[in-house]
Amino acid sequence: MSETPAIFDVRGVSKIYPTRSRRGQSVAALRDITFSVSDGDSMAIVGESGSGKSTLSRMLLALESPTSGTVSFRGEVVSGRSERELRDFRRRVQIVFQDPLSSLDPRMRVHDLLAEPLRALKIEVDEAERVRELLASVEMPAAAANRYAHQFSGGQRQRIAIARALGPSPDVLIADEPVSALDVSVRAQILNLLSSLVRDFHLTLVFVSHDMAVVRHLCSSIVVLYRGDLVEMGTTEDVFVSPREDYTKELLAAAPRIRAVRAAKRVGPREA
Amino acid sequence: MTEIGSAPLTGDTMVGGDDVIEDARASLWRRWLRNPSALIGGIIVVLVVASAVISLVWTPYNPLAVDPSHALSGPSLRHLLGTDEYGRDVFSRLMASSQVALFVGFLSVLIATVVGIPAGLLAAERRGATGQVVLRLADILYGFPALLAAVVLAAAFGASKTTVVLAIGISYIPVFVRVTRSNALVVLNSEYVLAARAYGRRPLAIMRRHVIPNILTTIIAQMSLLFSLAVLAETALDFLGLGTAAPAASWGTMLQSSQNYLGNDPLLTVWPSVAIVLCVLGFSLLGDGISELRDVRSSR
Repeated sequence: MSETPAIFDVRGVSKIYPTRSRRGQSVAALRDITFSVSDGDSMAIVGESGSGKSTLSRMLLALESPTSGTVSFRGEVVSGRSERELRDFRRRVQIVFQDPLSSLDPRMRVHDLLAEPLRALKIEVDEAERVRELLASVEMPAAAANRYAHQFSGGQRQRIAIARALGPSPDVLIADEPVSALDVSVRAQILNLLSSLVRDFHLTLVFVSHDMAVVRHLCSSIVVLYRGDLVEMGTTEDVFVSPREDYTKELLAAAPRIRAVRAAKRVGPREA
Repeated sequence: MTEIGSAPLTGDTMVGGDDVIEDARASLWRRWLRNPSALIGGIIVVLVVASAVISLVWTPYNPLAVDPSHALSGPSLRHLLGTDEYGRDVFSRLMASSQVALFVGFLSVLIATVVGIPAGLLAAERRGATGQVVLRLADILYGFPALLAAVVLAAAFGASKTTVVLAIGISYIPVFVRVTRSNALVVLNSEYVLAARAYGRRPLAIMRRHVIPNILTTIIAQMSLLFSLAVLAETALDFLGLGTAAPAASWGTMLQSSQNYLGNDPLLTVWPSVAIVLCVLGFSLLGDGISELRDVRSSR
């Protein structure tokens, strides 16, 4: 379409895990996945558990290599590269995990949690100043820096995890089910925060989820995975209005909270 | 929507004030005092260490001074716990013996940790062939019981404290390999390590920054437990005559020589036994207590 290469270009990616069963079968977590994410896009990867969406997000992060196929970032292949070659990539792509309690080291103070990416990536900044900035950007008080993750509520922990991901000023944020471990009541706030951060920092968002209602609220395009196969792909409106695949229809039917989230969205400005 | 998150800036959902560092320390201390195992174990360990330290500079009598005219005199005001078959003061000898127990316990745990912990970390990090080789080597070592190893070493190099330390230390290496590896694996499979890899942390830095701080309490608890077992093994080896040489005092040798005078003064057997039981109990209670303290943070 244009000369600038896509942010992510996933071409024919498969991931096969060998199993230890007697028959020596292997399990294909992903089969021949091809799609791309363009700059500024917010793309949802949707599927039920076991559909391979977490494996895919790990490959986008170059933490796992595909068995076949390639993942490229801005035109350069990242799968199978050495960490030295990936340094710039590591700064540009950050992740927020599902459960902040397990994605934040229990032995580190919030200050260190947020400063660690800056240190690891050798980003020259005033650490204390940057940590304050990051906490402010997720609407947390500066005093939070002295505390440990277990001293916060689930929603606050996820804010900290988001602040950590923002630290290196990434281009891309991968969010792996960022609200499914949270209380329903705080989900809307975290989602609103995510969408305003994506807007303010011009982030490209890859949003991994099984919740179609949330996806509709946040994403402009959708990739649907079913047991390792890419079954449907398109803009959010197209997929919602006229889903082609039966599986997508089932997913849509299994999203009972659409009204609740819409209601939350309506009262959104008051809480944000 | 009167939830926590709807007022993220108010303090009521955060534990502690601005002086959280002091808070954390104070609460650790308070939890320590409230945990019976940690408290009682800690007190006993302090007593044993104190008696060993004091005995370096002072004991009521010279633990080696022979006084045949007061042999087997029984407890009295002059000799609190009585005297042995050579008229040596039992209380002084018990104090001096705690040096031996702590010396052997400390050095053997040191050997076991210095070799076992790095090997365990290596086995956790390299799950392939390297890890398997480390684990199989640990299994082979595990096949040699401490007592047997001590007998072999004593036969080859003669009975001495060094022999005992080496035998016990080497035989506990596999324990540390396994404990370190299994705990390190839990940390390495955690999402916070995955996050660290995603921002470019290398394996060594992850070990130092995430794995070691998170397994440290478990390791310390294990060290305390093994320390108690090392003291037990040391007294057993001394009892068998494979460790501390004759005139020097140790709980094992005292117990051994008291056997011959069970009829004359049965209490001679009781004192070193009580010392052994207390010391072993102290360190193992402390180990239990520490591992209980560890769980509080995550469960809160």
